[in-house]
Amino acid sequence: MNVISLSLIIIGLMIIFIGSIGLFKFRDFLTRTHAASVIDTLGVMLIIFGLMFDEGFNILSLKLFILFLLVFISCSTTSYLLAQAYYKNHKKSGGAS
Amino acid sequence: MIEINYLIIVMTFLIIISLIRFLTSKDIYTKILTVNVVSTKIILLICLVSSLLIDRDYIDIALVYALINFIVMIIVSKYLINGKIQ
Repeated sequence: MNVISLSLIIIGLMIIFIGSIGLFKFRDFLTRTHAASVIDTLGVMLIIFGLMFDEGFNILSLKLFILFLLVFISCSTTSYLLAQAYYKNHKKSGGAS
Repeated sequence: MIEINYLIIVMTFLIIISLIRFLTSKDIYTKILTVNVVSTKIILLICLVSSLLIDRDYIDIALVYALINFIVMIIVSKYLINGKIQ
């Protein structure tokens, strides 16, 4: 692999590690969704773009880009729906657990 | 091609960290969020393994895994919001 793709993948792994530590450290659910969203958007973006730089322009690169768009949209929607469910079930306590 | 092995080992270590978070959490919403994170990391692990091997058709498996993950998370979230699936 060349230097650009390897450095992109290593930065993506570091960001995923930071998000995993944030899932341990934050004390409320609505703040843990921030840490999970960092993993689902920025980590996935960096790792898949690194693999695309390794591939070049062909059909596999297009498949990787479609996979990136799918994960980007679906994980954001999942975080939104879980936050909505948490807010609806904990509305009387003011959103605090 | 030897450095992809170390990236796959680091990715497996990150999956194990999230599985520990899944086992030690007591809130149901945190458990579902952690399952989503583990699925995302497994998709990235499949992409790295397909970059390691000669056979590059594993990206199709990753696409199907992402679609199944999306459908399951939508259904579980609608059950938590409404109290029923429909």
